[in-house]
Amino acid sequence: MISYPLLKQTVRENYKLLLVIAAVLSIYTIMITGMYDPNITEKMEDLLSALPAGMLSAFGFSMEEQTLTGFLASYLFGFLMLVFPMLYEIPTAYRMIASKIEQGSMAYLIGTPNSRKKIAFTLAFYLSVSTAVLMLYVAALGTVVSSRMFPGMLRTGIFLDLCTGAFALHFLIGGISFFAACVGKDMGQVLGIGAGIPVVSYLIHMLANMEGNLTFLKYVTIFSLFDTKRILEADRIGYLFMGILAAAGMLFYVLGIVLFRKRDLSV
Amino acid sequence: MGMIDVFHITKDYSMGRGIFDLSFQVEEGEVFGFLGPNGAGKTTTIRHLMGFVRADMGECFIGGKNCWDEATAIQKRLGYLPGELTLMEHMTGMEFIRFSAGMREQKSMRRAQSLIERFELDPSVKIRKMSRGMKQKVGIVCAFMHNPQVLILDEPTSGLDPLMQSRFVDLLLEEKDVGKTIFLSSHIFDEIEKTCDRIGIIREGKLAAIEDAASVRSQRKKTFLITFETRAMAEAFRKEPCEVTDVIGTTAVVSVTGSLRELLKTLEKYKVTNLDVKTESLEEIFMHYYGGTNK
Repeated sequence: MISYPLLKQTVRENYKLLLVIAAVLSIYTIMITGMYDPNITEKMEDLLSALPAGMLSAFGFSMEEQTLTGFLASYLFGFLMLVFPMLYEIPTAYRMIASKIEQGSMAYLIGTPNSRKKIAFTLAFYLSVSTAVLMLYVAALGTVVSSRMFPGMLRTGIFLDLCTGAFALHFLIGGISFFAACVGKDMGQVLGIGAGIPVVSYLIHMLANMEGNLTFLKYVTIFSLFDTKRILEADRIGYLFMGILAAAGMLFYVLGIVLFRKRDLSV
Repeated sequence: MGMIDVFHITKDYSMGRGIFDLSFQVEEGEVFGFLGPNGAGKTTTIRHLMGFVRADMGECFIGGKNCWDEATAIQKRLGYLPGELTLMEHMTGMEFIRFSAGMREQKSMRRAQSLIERFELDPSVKIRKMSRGMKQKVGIVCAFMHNPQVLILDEPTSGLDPLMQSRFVDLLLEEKDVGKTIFLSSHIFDEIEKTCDRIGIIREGKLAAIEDAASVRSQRKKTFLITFETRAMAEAFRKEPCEVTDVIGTTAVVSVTGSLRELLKTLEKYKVTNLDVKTESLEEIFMHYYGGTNK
């Protein structure tokens, strides 16, 4: 099912962006963990009072949880872990498939004795596994950094659940981008679906988070299914949501592969 | 069944573009030239043979296997040179050749190496920095290196200089000698004439004719521009039993079909200062073929 030469080549073409995103997330993970102060309440209140509350909650920052785990859930998983992995998945899906169709080098892949299914599966495998690697890395780094700076204060199980949830979310976003790259007839369609849906979803998520009468918007964005509050409370619904994200991601990957097999490739 | 069988394939891209009810066969061991102006549907036909696109109607087969359903099996013994060659720009030539070999699970690089030497390719250069001709050579190496039984070549000599073009023709003739089936497209008549057994002519998506290359060669009209020493000579030449179509000053324009013997004999009587061969464009060949009924 997997073409190893293609997998190797795909790693070579895409690992740099993965490293850049991992580096950015490393800096933020360390910084945010370092910013945690067990006596945070007063300090943060001073800081936050200077900014409008609506704007802060739009970015997912809230004061609700003052434990280290809660702090990370708000600040790391409220914005950075939502946005930065997308900056890896969307361009990578595009570059792996759509741009190869667009400029024609896809002819060299499908012109070899490898079925389209095998080629698409290999690329889907790379994108989902590399996303998982990124999440695993943040999980490991977060655990290590927390245990160094604040020994015993991180609820490791919950933190790993947060990482798993973030993976489920990004598995879906990667799946959408992959699907778009497989079926899009031109750049507009590929980016419209592959980048449009995740980005618009994220913007809606920001609006829904703001205080006011836009909270109903949370029902129309995939980001609501990564519910850090419920995960913090180890609420079953939070895990159910994760399952839905993963299943939807799987659906998009499978649909992408199936439709890639059937489409015309004028390369 | 032949090695390549195309049965009534139609792919309508609307606005008159596409291919319409195309049928032909290529026998095993045959070299088939597919000739037509740009945009006539040559590449579209090839995409069907490669299983890249699916026909609206009709089917095509290579070695008895369906080009769409069994593309993977067909590609095991097929060599393909795309027309619009887009290689992976960030690789060197050799990396790309090795990658292609890897995708084919091909172990030996001996034939690739001998092709690289034959075409004097420097494969250590990044493809991004390669000229059109160099990229074409990389494409040729990838198409031939696994010693395929069937070759599908879309405008194979484009970008090659005349020396390399003739090396390529030699390579094709060698492959033909060992019984390979070769399908090549071109918009240049002379390129096809040298190697092909039969020529299919495509125009506006429809197959206009399939001819024996030998008979095309013998029927082909050649035009010569013959410059004489004086105007009087040129005028006198007009009365000779040759097909003189025009006289401009001291130059006569003569059309010859088939053998040149008659013309050369006649010219012995004259003082000729210059002789030019006017290469016939594809359009003119069509005109000759269809008496001007095609546009």
